[in-house]
Amino acid sequence: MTSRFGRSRFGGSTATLLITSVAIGLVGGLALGAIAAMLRPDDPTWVVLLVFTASTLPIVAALAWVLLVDRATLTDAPRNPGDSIESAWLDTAASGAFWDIVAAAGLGAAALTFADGAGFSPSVAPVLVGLLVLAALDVGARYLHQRKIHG
Amino acid sequence: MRNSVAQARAGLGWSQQRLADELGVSRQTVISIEKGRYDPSLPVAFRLARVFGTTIEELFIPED
Repeated sequence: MTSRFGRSRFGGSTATLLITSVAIGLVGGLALGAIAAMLRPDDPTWVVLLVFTASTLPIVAALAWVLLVDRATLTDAPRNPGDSIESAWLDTAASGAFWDIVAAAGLGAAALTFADGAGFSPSVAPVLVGLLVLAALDVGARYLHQRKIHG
Repeated sequence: MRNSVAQARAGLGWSQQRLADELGVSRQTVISIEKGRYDPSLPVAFRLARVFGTTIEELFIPED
C-alpha cells in the first residue's frame, strides 16, 4: 500500500515516518541553533537559538524524510526514476546551470578583485548564498523550460 | 525519431498510466515518447519491445 508521504524503510506507518522526521529536524535544528548561539556571544542567546532552530528545522526534517522514506511506498513514484523524462530534464537543466555558475563565479571573482582594490570587501557568506540561490533559480527555470518544450 | 508506441499501446487496450507502470517510469515519459519528443534510453526501449512482444526496430523508426 502506498501513500503521499510513504513509509519508513525501517517499517512503521506514515505517521511514524513524519513524526520521526520532524523529531530529527527538531534535534538537528536545536543543535545548529546552539552552535550559532555559541558563535555569536554578543547576540541574545535565546533569539539566536530560536531563529536558527526555526529556519533549519524544516530543512533537516525534509532531509531526514528523504533519507528514511522507502520510495516503493510513495504514491505514483516510478520504479526507475532515472529512466523517466523528468530525470533527463533535470540533467539538462543542471548541466546548463553549471556553466552559468562557472561564468557567474568567474565574473563575480573579477568584480570582487576590482572592488577589493577600491577598498570594498564584502563578506564571503552573502556572496556564497547569492551564488547558491542563483544556481537553484537557474536549474528551476531551465527545468521548467525543458518541460515546456518537451512535455 | 518516429515510433509506433501509441498504436502498440492502443492495440493492447492499455492506458498511458498502465504502460508507465509496466515500464517503471512516469506517465509524462510515456506521453513524451508517444509524441516523439523524447527518445527513451536503451533499457526503456528494450522494455517497450518486450512489453509489446516486438523488436526495437519495429517500434522506433529513425527519421534520417
